[in-house]
Amino acid sequence: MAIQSMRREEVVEDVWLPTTCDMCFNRCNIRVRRVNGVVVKIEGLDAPPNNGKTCAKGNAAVMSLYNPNRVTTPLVRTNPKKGIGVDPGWREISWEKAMELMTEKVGAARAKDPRTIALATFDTTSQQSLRPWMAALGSPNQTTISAGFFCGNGVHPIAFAMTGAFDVHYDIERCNFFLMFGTSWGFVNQREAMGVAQEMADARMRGMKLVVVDPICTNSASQADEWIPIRPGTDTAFCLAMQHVLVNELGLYDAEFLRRYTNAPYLTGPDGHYVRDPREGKPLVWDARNSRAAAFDVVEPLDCALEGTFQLEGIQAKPGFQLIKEHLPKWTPEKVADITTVRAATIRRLATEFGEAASIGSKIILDGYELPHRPAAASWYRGTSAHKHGLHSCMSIAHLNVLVGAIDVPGGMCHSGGTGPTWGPVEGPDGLLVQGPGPRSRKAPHSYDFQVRKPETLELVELFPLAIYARAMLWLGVLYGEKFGLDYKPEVLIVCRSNPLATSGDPEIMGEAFRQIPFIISMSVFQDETTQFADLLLPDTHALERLVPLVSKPYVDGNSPPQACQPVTYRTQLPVVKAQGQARYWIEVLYELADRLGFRQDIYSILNTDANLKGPHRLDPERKYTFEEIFDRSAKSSCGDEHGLEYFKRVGYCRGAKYSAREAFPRVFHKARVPLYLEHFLTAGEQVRSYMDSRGIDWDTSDYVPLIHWQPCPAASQANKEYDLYVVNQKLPILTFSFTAENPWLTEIADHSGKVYTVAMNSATAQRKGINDTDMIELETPSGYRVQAVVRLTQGIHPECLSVPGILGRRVTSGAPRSKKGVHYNSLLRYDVDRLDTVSCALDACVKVKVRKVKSANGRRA
Amino acid sequence: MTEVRIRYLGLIQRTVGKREEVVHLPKGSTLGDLLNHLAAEYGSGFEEKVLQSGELGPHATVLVDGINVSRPGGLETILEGQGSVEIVVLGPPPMGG
Amino acid sequence: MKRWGMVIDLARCVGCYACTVACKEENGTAAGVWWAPVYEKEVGTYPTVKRMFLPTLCCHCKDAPCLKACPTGAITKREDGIVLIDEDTCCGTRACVAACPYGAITFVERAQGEFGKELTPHEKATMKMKSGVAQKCTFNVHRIDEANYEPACVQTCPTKCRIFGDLNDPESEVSTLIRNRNGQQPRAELGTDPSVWYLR
Repeated sequence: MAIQSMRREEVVEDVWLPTTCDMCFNRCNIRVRRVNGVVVKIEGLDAPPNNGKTCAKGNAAVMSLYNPNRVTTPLVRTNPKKGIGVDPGWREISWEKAMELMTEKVGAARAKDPRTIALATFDTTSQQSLRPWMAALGSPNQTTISAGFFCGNGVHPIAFAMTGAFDVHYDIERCNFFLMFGTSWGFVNQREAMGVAQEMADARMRGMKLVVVDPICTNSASQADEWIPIRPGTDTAFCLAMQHVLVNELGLYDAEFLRRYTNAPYLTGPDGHYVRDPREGKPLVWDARNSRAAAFDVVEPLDCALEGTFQLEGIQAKPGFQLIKEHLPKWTPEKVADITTVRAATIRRLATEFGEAASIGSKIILDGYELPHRPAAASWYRGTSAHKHGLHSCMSIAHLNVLVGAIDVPGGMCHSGGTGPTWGPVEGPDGLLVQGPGPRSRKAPHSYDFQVRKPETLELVELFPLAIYARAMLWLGVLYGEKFGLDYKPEVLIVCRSNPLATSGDPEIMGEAFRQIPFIISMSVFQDETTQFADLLLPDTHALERLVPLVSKPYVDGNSPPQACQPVTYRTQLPVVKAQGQARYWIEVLYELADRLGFRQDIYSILNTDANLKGPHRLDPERKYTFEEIFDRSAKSSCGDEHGLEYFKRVGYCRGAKYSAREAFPRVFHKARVPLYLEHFLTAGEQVRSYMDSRGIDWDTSDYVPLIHWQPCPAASQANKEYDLYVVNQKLPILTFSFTAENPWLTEIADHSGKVYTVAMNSATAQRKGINDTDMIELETPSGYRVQAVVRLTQGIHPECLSVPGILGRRVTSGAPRSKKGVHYNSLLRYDVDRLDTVSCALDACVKVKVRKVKSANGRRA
Repeated sequence: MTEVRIRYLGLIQRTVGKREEVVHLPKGSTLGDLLNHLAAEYGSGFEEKVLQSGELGPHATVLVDGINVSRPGGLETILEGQGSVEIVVLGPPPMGG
Repeated sequence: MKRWGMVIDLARCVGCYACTVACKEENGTAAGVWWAPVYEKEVGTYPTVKRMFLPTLCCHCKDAPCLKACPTGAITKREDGIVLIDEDTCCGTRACVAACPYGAITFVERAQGEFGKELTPHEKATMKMKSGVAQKCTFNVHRIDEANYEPACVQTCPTKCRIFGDLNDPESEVSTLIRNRNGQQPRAELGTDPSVWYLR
């Protein structure tokens, strides 16, 4: 009976309940209307980060919740053979039996070596509850999949280096010229999606010029002032040319910023390393006023030379900036025009506009503070990260901001949330910026104190001294760990709300890695490619059915760091409806497992510290607590005694403080320097080479150089010219991860648009190939993988590209309509060590295919 | 002599091979002295997790008599007699994407 | 007397479909039935290309062609301008569908749930499951009447490109925007006097 037609007496209950959305990683505050026990509506709560808004995915969550084919009982495999499309022969078992089996397998592995237990999830809401569990279990092997293969690899290491924070935010509120490379930030995509959507619209309406550099005319490019199509994997060359124009043609760079706040004046020797003071080992600079070399921290910054060649006791020394100046003419706009397919005049013009918009030297008063104002910024995300030479690509973009002084100042690229109100960057080794004090959870694994050593983690992150994580290496580590010096193999893998088989690289390779692991436990809401490899499949709750036992601290947790100038909110997830079938929240299952294995007490002890539980709210390890009790204590500890579970059940979130201008834009309040000359890359490379040589491993260290360079992706240097088109992935505002392919509202829109399940091809390219709109075509990769799809011709794509969006073309699902439609982009990707960016451990997403027509739109075979 | 009761939580347990122990140090020893002593005993595994370049490692938290001293200057904390030290080491937070 | 109307700022729309889904969820439409679709149009030749996004809905015309075309009187217009189809009176002639110049009316041939015959609890709770009737946007009249609450599509829009208000009040946000931004009615030349205006 539809609620509109219900009589008053039939409505037993009509309530709005607060919680947070889980359809992407942003965790917007939402309220859910429940009538007679059924979810009928979802809307945004008027609080940061989403300010009352929800996107299509958030609005469609109810259709994931009520999928009639959810996994609802524990299942155990009876068919020992594992493969994609191979029926596991599921047999239903009781929860008791399932727990016994888990206890046996995990217990045995733990007794031998707890490191052999790995856990893969991208359930960011649950991370804080999981981390103490992993620590008490005794395993460092917690990983995520596609988040960690492609996107953040080129973002977070640079964010840490330039701002000391995990992530960056762009102050578009005060920006006049905004350049985006391979991303749709502000267009209902990636981090801070809802908040920034409005900010971006406001900024554009105010007159901020938006330029999007991307092989595809994405949603962001469509609303930009200019779309600059570019050949995939060549953004580095583009940016180096922009840098050349700024530095060598226009002399348009913030010299004071470079002298004060970067290592640009540090002297370098013939070996590329810093020239150091022999007594204290500090890098030297040339004091131009006194014509002498001295330690960087004793010379007045404005007296430091940025250019020149100096003789220092037999060594010829040059400031890092001098080397950069000499290096950049290799990358003039004319030289990179053929590489990028962007006209030299365009690059030169954009560089000029960017440099002029930056208004070097200008100031602004905010909150009573006089701050530099640099209203020009360049941003990036997945598009430039997901390449073999991705870190260089992303760094070349970041350096545009550095050159004009647009770091941590109004209008520019700023730290995103740091790690809390007491956070601040400090000077680390050689005066370079490192993360300061603050909640420990978000510290970079290593800044400049890296040491390449024999790996201890499955991820082999020890071999990637400049990366934040090495998740793409983990599965190759499972296959080849011994070669790299890892002295153990995984025995048990627990996969929670994650679909590695679909969201990584070649599923055949992933499948191979999965088959190496003797026992796999999967906790999932839907059947998918990964659950098919599980030995034990447990029904997970939907996010609307669960209570997350810890309050989410805005600075510390999750993937949506607070925007610099918005107040933060403490949030969580609260159950709105009862769990379906026998579904149980996977964290609850793990905590019960801990109880059975005897380490629950340790979890509580760790939580007391890690979750900062205070006074009477601390957990007594000898007692057992429900998740309600734990949450109540966590919330009161973080938000005050008046903000416990009852408060959150009513309101859903608790507001925290808003940053002052000084906290949001800290650049001029500290002296720590950011790296323009990447001297530490040399050191890291030497260490990596030494380790790999000692093990007789051939490892590409060509990117461990102090000056950014462009190298073609392997796909680009592909010898066989038959493979002439790049396949580029694209994010869409209506889909994310793999599970949205099961949401019929979202997929119906996708289908209707004609743009999601088809492969997009440039109209002129298609004409040359005799291909017409809606023909059936076949793509084939150099390794022989083939897939067929309907082609959609468009003017909005680079002529050398095809576009395959999202994670679609699913092979195993819970059977929602259209859930298997489309093309699976990740199947096209070779997944091998030689396709990894050895600096950031991103997996190269560049792939070239050849295309042939299979069938005309009118049905005639080609 | 100062008797210090140490409790190990998280990933450090496997490195030191135990959950707790009692250590005797000269009176007036600091937390830093204790950690150096433990590093000397347990080697590079302990250093990598707890004490890096003379500072607390990024994923290590130390409590002295129940107070979290994981901040600059924390290593200077003097260890009182019959005091307790809790060393908690978590894995790297799987942040980001 | 109020005249309810909506302004859609095409300069702010980013084609995210939040409105389309919020509408579906609020109104419980059957599978395949969308009252607020967004259309995309590509303009230009490579490399000077743009995709334009056009959110659409019923325009609640002052001189509504659908109302005039309906033979059964199922379509009425309230004093505040909202045009409504009474599904109980509708006998499915589809005259309104043909008459509407905005393609805003859907004839529901066979009302089904998204997963086929078996309705999800949400669909059971919200869908009226009438087959053989015409349906369209109602400006979420139930939200306005019950709680003076704006339509779901307006409430959800991440870029705030949809504004709702009283067109008869010259100081209202909708009237001000139309005036200051040179708002245009869709297909104004047809003389239907729509209550939906677009800004560029």
